[in-house]
Amino acid sequence: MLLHFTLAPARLSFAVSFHRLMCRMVPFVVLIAWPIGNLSAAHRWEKIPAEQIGAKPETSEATEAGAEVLLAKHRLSFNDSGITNEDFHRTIVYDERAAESVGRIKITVNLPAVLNDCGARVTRADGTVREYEMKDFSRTKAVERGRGGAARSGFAVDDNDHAVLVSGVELYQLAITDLRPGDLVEYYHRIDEDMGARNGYAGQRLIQVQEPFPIRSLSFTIGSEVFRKNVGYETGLSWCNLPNATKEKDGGSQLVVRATNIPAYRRETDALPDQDIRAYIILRLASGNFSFSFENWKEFTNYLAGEARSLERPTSAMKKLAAQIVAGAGTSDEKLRRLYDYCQKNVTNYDYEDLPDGVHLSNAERRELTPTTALELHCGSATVITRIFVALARASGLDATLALTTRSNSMLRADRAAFGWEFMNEWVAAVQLDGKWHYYAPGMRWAPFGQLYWQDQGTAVLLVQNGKAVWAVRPVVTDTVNDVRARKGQFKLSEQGALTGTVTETLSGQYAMSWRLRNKVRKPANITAFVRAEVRREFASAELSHITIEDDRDNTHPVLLHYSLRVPDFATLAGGRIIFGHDVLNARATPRYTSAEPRLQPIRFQGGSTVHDRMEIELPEGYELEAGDAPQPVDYADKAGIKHAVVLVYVPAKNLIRSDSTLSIGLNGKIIFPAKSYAPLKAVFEQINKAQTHTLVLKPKPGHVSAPAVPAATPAPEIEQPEEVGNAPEA
Amino acid sequence: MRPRLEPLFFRSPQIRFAISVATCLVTAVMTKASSSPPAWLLQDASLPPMPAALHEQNQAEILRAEVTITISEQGEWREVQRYAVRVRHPGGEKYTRMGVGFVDKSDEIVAADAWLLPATGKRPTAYQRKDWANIAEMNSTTLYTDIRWLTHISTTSAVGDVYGGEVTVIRRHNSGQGQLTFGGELPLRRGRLAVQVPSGWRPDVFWLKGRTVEPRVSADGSVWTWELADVPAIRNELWAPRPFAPYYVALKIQPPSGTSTVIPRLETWADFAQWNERLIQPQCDTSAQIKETVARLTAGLTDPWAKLEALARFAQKQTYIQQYENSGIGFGYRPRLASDVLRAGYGDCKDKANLMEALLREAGFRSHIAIVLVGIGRSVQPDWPGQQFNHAITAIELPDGLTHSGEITHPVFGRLLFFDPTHPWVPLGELPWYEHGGLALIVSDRETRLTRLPDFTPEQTWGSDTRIDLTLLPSGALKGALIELDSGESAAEDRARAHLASPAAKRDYWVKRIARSLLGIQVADPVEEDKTDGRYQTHLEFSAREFGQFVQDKFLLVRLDLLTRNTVPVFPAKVRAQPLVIRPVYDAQEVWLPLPPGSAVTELPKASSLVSDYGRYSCEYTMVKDTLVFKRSLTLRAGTIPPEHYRALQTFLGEVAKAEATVVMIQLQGSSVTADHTATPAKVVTN
Repeated sequence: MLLHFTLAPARLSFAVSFHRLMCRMVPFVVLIAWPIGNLSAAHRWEKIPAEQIGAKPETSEATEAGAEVLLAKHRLSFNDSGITNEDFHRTIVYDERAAESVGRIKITVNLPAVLNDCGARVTRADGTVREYEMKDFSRTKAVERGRGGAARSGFAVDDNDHAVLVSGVELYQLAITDLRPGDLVEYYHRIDEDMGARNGYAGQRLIQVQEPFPIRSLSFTIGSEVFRKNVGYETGLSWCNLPNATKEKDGGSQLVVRATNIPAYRRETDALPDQDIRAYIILRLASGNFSFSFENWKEFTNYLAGEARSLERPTSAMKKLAAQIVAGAGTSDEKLRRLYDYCQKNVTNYDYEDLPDGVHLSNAERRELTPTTALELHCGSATVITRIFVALARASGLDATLALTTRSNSMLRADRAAFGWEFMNEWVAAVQLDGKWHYYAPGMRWAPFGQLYWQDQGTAVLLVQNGKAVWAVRPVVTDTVNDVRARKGQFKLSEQGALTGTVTETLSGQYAMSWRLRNKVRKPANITAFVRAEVRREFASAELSHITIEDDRDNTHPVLLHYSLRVPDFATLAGGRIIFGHDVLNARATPRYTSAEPRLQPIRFQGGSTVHDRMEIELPEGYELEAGDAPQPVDYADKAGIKHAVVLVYVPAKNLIRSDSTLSIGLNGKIIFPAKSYAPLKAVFEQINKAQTHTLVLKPKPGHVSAPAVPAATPAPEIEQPEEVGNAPEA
Repeated sequence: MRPRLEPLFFRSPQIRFAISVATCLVTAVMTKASSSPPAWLLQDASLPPMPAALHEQNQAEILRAEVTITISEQGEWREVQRYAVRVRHPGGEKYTRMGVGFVDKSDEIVAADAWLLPATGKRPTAYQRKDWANIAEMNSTTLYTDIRWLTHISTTSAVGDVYGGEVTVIRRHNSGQGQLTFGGELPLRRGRLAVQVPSGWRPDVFWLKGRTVEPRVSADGSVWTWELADVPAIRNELWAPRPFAPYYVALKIQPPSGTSTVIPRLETWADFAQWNERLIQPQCDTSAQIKETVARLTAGLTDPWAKLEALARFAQKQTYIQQYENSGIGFGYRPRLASDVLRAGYGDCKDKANLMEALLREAGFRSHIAIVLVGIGRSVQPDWPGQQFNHAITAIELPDGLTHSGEITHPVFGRLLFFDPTHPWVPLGELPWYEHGGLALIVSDRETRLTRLPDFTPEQTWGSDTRIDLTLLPSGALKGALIELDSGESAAEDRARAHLASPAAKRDYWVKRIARSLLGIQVADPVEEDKTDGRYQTHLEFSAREFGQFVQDKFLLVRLDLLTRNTVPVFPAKVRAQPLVIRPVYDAQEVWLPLPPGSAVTELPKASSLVSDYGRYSCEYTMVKDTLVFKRSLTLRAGTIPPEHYRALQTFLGEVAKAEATVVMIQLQGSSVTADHTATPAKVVTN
């Protein structure tokens, strides 16, 4: 409903962490706080254009949403002491089902900002008007904090280095409950924020402008430059995922971004990260002492060139250590592997694990920990371990550098120029081998050498090459050999249809990483409960017992799960026949996609993956195969990077069926597809589902039956070629 | 997990347990203070490790959960809460926090302190009042509240550390009652409730959950203490009775007869009904708007039932919004003025029930607010008159000549029909399922006892009758038409969807239901009708690209449980520690599949008929001329199944699930239907 011009905690951590980074390189500016005067002046409602009164939806999307924001205006004005933040919305109700949502107006004020004015107006289709003033809004101090020293600044950094609100939140709410189709609801508010109290500031505000209802017209204005001139603040304004937005100077001192027909936001499965698909206005604000411009990357990359090199400069002790580690290594790859393993095994990563016995570090000590000290203490943060790795690699004569990237699973394809440098907020290691950059994540505790978390694949990095910063994209890798979930089952099927047996599951690569990440702090009972839940998602009646887990927490080793499984109603009985699924653990799976509605957003798989299932089912005595159909193979490796194959073997001597199935997704790096590919992709997954839920029929007559036959393949569906991952270099 | 007084504010059933201090994510600012940890906390920290059986696999153990209440001669309630926890394993750090609920401007927080004692032996960290966050208890339906939590979280704790806190609060909610839980997902070393009362006063405690604990009473009878030791953690099992704690205790303070204090003496249900009547009745005012509204709603209506329906629908349509002001008065039992609620157009359950009473009175009907207790597996204990309620509904005195199957006869008020104006989609004459058969207290100074709410059959409560007609096309594709007739909660869900979901969302709902059994589904927009008898009918046409599995073009394997596949509730856990609360189910379906010419069913599956203490199931396959007909019916009765009977329920449902998964083999030889090997899935139009 509202433009969220507030620092959401998740975003706040962005701003703060980079703010901290910046503080290392520029003097920290202390500004004097000016009190904000009462700038309030009675709001004057604009005349509503005649065509908007009683307007009808012009798009099917507006009809579907049940309401539409006809006009949304947001304005930031700078004055001598801070920012005035004004918001105006005009929304029309098309359908009764949207009335309650439109009628709930909620204004969130993060203290010490002050709401100085707000109001609402309802104009019915017959022209009658009802107005609400500020006194009609309910005011609740949702979060009230104490008088701590940090309270004045609005946010602080806690001991886990997370930004937290410290000074409180106030809510102003209004409920208009008698709205009808055709009613126009307008509201406005003005919030004053004392920027002087921030004691110097550099940060971005990511303002999400997409709402549950489509927006017909949006404007976002940065007003007066008084503050900028007097205090030396710089401002910048950009946007992303607003395809028809324009920016203009208005009156010489105002920047205005205008956009029209912004669709409503709908969450969809397998979607790209938010920054890639949701509409944002990005406001940048900094004290003039932060010397580089927000619109130009050049100054930032100059900074990066110097900073990245200084952070990883190896000491003489490191050079000595590196020589010991790589002694005898024949290739650069071997050197890197040894250094990588050394960093992961000899430096406890306290972002993931407890500190070594006898080591105690305060939060301040952790923050200030250098690579040299970390090597002495044998512990460090993920970032420090990455820095150690780069320093050791450089000491070994390799062309290694730190590179900046975004947080995991963000901005795969977003317009990085729009987001700006502040979102490049994590250091990673990059090594140039044979003219090509390779990326390493030693700080990611569970990432083995040569592998990246799937969330990091395809994300952009900014690195320094020959003194210049360049953009690159970390590769998407579908490793069907190493990133595998392999399940082996040995079962016995009873005449009553019950299936009993054991399963061994081997998780390697991405699967092992995900497992270890997920279960990092889980207690053993919860881990076994998780295993149970995973199986029961498909088989509600499954009984699991003897669950054992082998995980030595060594990245080079897989995670092994063993359990006994009994499914009392696995097979169905039809007269004298027994009918059962060959792919035991997928026998009751539902297709990946079910919705028949048009897809709005591109589809993105979570990296590549391969699942290999080998299921052996001993058949009940006295039964044989009625018919030997096997499921068709599904092969769209070229077009969609998806392949599913089943080999069914009947072994008469042992009276068993062996089912080998392999499902690979993301082959050839294909993990992102345009929205129009949804229907064919859905059809592909339905074919896979059909193969997975394929059943075999047993009849009660002994005799020889040949191996199942494979029918002719179904012609391939048309699938749009996947889009390129990442953007072209820009810097 | 830790003791806390459960505020008895009326809430909607949807949010009744939504608020927990665990959800408070705001982190406290650390401020070192000079105050040393108190002796009780140092003593707790020195306790030897808990027995392995109690702490095994738990990330933390609660060393102390203690509430001490002191009542003054004037009825002032002074409460000291102490809490201590030790982090045992990684992940347990999140338990180093404490929260105390209070009513703003009514209750007074006298002191709030917390300490962290590091396992390393380093100097303890002390946190003072200013380090605590003061958070409003809000959710998306709250417009304003004066109910708040004082919360502290230590973000620096590590494995082995002990965290403790102590809060002193003076409560002025003038009810003299409260409820408290002990234990939960963490083991508890020591739990304690101590109440100190003036001479002649008496604390009256009732253990609503867990074994009854006998008090230890001081020689002069002024201090009553209930103690628990080594309470094991419990697992949060699905559909276990609430609250999620092994011990749940209700407390009321009884002043001597004739004493004039703010705390009422409540010995009988009549006392409690009168106390509520005094709180609530003044709020049931009238106004010109109420008169005008009633006149407008009932204009032209002569039938009393039609008038009641019109008023009931209006009360239901008022938006559910919580606005808690002056919660200290009556501790959340007092509604806002009916005229205010109507003017604003919103209210919570007690506001809506009160408005309903005002509207009915204006229309010439007599009614009362009735207070009830809702929640999974919760029921009012009739032997302990006191605050056990969390929801308000309306009891309507039916006028002569008007009867209804849902009415009950009350010795004082005559024939009563109960109605819940908070539930927006359950019509007059029915009640939401969680109120069926429960005990209600009618708020009237003439009431002397609890009243049993009417019970309904599973068919009336959560019923669904569906007929599906299928047509198998030569390509192997399928066309179908279904008519679903829902009642009770099923009909209420239909109504909600009809009013709130977009056309696409409605289609998606049906696609997802059918997608459990068919591939490549397309559905038309459903045609819906809200019938006058309270049932809701949906007519839907659909198609599927594929149906069943062809076996070498000779057989077609089909399952006809299209809408019910995998919907039978299954409880796979072998044993259960807590009772299991099951909701009623009635789901009957008929599926008609004309067989293609020349084809035949190889063998009709056997009929099943299962009966147990918990419900019954039947299914049968028959041939009616050339049509294969599948009929099934599942009925489950609502109830709370004790752990020792869990296995029997599990066996029954397992047999149902097995019977449900029946495959029919259709021999295709001579039939025109064949597997469509040339079908290209991508050609299916989805728009």
